[in-house]
Amino acid sequence: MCVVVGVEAALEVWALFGMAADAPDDHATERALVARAQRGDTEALSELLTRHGPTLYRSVLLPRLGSDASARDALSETYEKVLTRIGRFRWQGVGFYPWLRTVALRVALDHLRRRKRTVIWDTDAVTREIDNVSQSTPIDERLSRSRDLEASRERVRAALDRLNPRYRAAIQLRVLEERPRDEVAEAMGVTPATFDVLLHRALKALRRTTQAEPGLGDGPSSTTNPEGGPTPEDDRR
Amino acid sequence: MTEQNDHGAGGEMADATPEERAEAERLRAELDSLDRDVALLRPSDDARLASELRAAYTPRAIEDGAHDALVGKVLGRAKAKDRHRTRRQIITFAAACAAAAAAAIIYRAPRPVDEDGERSLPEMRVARSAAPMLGARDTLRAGTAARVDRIAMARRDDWRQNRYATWGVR
Repeated sequence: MCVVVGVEAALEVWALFGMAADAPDDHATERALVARAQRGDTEALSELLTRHGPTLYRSVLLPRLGSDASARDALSETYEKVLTRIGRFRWQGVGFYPWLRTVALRVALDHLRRRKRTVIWDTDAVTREIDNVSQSTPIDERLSRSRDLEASRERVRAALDRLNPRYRAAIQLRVLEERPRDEVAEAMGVTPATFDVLLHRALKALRRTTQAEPGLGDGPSSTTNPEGGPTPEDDRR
Repeated sequence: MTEQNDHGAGGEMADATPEERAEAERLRAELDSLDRDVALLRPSDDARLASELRAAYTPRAIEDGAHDALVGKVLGRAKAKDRHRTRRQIITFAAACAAAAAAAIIYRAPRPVDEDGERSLPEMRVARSAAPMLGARDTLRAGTAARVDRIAMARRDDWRQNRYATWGVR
């Protein structure tokens, strides 16, 4: 565990140095683009969105909204908001992305409020993220790209940790690692048809656990059964 | 009891209901579609959850073409809106100019001229004596205040009619 944390910290420092090294040129170009976009130059705005949009989609919107269609809608809505609000943006030395990310988080929050909560992210979690933006340092903001993806994975891991190990393995191998059904069934020592039922029960158990106890990824709960909410006996019924 | 007996075909899954087996089969088909990046029209709850988990754990990148199209659509809409706004401002300005020009023309327009070259003036009420009113039997019977009121009303009416004649609205 310590090794993993150490490696992650080293990667972050490396990423920070990497960003610092190419920052001056990159920031000067980006600042010029922002200034042009604020004067109404749509070409400049298009270049800014093309630079950061794909990252925004993959690290912020898709993990929080859970589907391509919702994430694309949210991205489009984010761009419309950027278009009308770019005049309010003030350069703070950390680039355009952190501001864009905050706009996207607010859009994602609106989307989550409009529909049934997703299992992995809920409105409270996204609200907390938006609140954290106001307290973050420039270094935090530079690291936000890499942290977003990791935070999302962490929430998935926290959700799976509440399940029994067999259910966790079924979801991990088939859904997250996208390994073929037959291969996973063999690895788990069951027939493919039996594995289908096992996976169905595992997902059902996960849904039940998260509905009973929202707030995944906020640390382990003292009231939760560490074995994973429903026991295999519960799910046999 | 071994794990194989607990979870194998003869153990845990032996009591799966037909409904459960049907749902499991549907999930299998849906996951196969998701593996091939085929969008599901009406995903089951299981498939929706599986998609959410994948989106959160290994989110896929948006294709360059799709992203460019999205940027183009949003910026294109903004440009169209700008054009529409500009056109509306021009039309409003033109209408205001036309109204102002029309008002100026009406204001400055020469009054109709008679055959003998004299400008025709509207028919005005001439100032008249209030004596006939004072001599009327009804008025004599009324008090002083009533007489003054009647004269004032007559004067006011004359004045109003003359204003209307001057403006050309009578």
